[in-house]
Amino acid sequence: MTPAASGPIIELKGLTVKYGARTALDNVSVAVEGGAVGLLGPNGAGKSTLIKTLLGLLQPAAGNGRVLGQDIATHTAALRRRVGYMPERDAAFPGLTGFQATWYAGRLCGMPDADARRRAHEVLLFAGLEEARYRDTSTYSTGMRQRVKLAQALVHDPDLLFLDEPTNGLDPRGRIEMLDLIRLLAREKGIHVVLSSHLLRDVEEVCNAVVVVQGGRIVRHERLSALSRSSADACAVRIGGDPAAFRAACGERGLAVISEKEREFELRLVREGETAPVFAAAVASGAIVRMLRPVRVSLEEALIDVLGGGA
Amino acid sequence: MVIHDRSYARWNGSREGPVNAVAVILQAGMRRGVATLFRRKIPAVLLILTAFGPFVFFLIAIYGRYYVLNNAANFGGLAEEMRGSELAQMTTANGETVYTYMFVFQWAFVLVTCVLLGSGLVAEDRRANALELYLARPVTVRQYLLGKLATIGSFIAMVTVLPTMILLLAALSLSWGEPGEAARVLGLMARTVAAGAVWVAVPSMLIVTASCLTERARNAAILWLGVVVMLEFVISNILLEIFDEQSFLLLQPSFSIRQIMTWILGDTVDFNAAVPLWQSVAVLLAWAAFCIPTMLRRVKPVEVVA
Repeated sequence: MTPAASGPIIELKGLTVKYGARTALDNVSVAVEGGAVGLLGPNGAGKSTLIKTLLGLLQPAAGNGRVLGQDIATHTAALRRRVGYMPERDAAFPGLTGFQATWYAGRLCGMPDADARRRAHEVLLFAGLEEARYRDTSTYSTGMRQRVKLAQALVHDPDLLFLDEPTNGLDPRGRIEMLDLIRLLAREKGIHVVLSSHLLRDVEEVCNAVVVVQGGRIVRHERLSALSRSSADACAVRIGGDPAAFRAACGERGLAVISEKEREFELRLVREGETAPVFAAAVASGAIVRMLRPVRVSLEEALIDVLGGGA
Repeated sequence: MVIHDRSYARWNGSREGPVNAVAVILQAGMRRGVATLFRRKIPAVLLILTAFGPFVFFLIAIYGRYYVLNNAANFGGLAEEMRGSELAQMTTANGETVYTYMFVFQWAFVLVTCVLLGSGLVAEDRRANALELYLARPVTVRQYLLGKLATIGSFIAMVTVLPTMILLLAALSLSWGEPGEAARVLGLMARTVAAGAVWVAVPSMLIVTASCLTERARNAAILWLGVVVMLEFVISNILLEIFDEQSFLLLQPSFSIRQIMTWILGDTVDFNAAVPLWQSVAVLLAWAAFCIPTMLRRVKPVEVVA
């Protein structure tokens, strides 16, 4: 089961959020389709501010937005009944066991007592907290705290889940398990997920689209496959022959050398997909082309490229 | 062997029903408060027994007076002596004074209840970053604060209004046969509820405000005790001694509460006529004008660090 794709789940128009005199989000406009969306950006870019604004926890100074069709400034109560939120910071209802905290979270979302109890047990088992659910959350390890936060975000069965750095502080195994749970929710249970993380691998493993935030602005929003696609304006070439002569011939034809290692070159093409000048340069320099392939751009490289361009 | 279904199942319940966040917060707060109180059982039981001490004393006095006066022939001079005594006057089943005392005697227990059960209400939530968890759900800041105020208010009511109401019920049962007395006691009961509301609301507001100002229950307790002790016992008394002006009693939070309560109860004995009622009302309104905006300002889902 995949999330229903009936228009954008998040629509923002000219959204500006300020902390006093400092602008945290600057004229943000975006329409995000459902599914699993990664929110990427360096520390302080405005990712958490964006999530808190979408939850109605921060009031915009200008602009407006809708989440699941609800206005984020005026319909916060209706909106919050349909979304779940797992904060980045260590947060817990003090003095409660894992079960009590999750039941309480459900009750605060308007669930009847009996339903909240049943759901609390279900989501805690789903999150991997078995007998530990009867222990006070203050005795939990970091991984268990992350799991109980996920359970609290899920107890009322939200349509949209905001996860702010959900793998923070987890060991490698815990991280894999947490990502498995999120992937299952997004791909099989029909829950839209917005995953904020500075760990690109987390986003790569779970999401199908990314929103890149920098300096309070959205600098890129597209499908993950498009962002980390094979680059059409660059190619990798391995030659047989004189590298210096080949380099000179490339220069004469407008091909920029991005990198060079022994007889392997990465070249920036004059026009996207046009490799004829590469062969011409090889012929002119007396070299032979042993291998030619498009350059694969990883998400990390793409992000560096995007952030570099957006800076 | 129990086999748990570990997969995720969607919930088919309604998301349209009302969210009574205040009641949910109150329910959870009461459970937590009782757990905190009974963490050490002997002090908790001692506290409850001593808190109900005045209630037991007045109950015995009221019933004893009723019994002696109704069986005067058996008690001879004691009945006559009792008719003239101050305690007997005070413990008339339908008398106003006894209920004023019932409230006033509980002041120490209100202090203890606030320190034990009220100081951490918001402070611990702030420390545990729980405000973000509350306010990311369909809970407003006002509902959150009302839930916390209702929690501590319920505990204060248990050591003030509850025993007083039980005493009134006892009085009602004793005066039931007397013409007009039952109606009088019922009227007194309504006035006691109103007076009790003042007695519960003001300390609740002050302790929750103190709790909002810190991130540790201990600091909130110290702040609350410091302010109350200084105003109640030190500053007001020093100024009273120096200037011999009764209005300085208004610095004592308990004085304004007591003035309003005695007025509501119609207790002319304990009402301090030297200080007009409006001044006490103004003082409590000033406290509210300080506390309410402070609470609203301190309870925020996002802490902005400049």
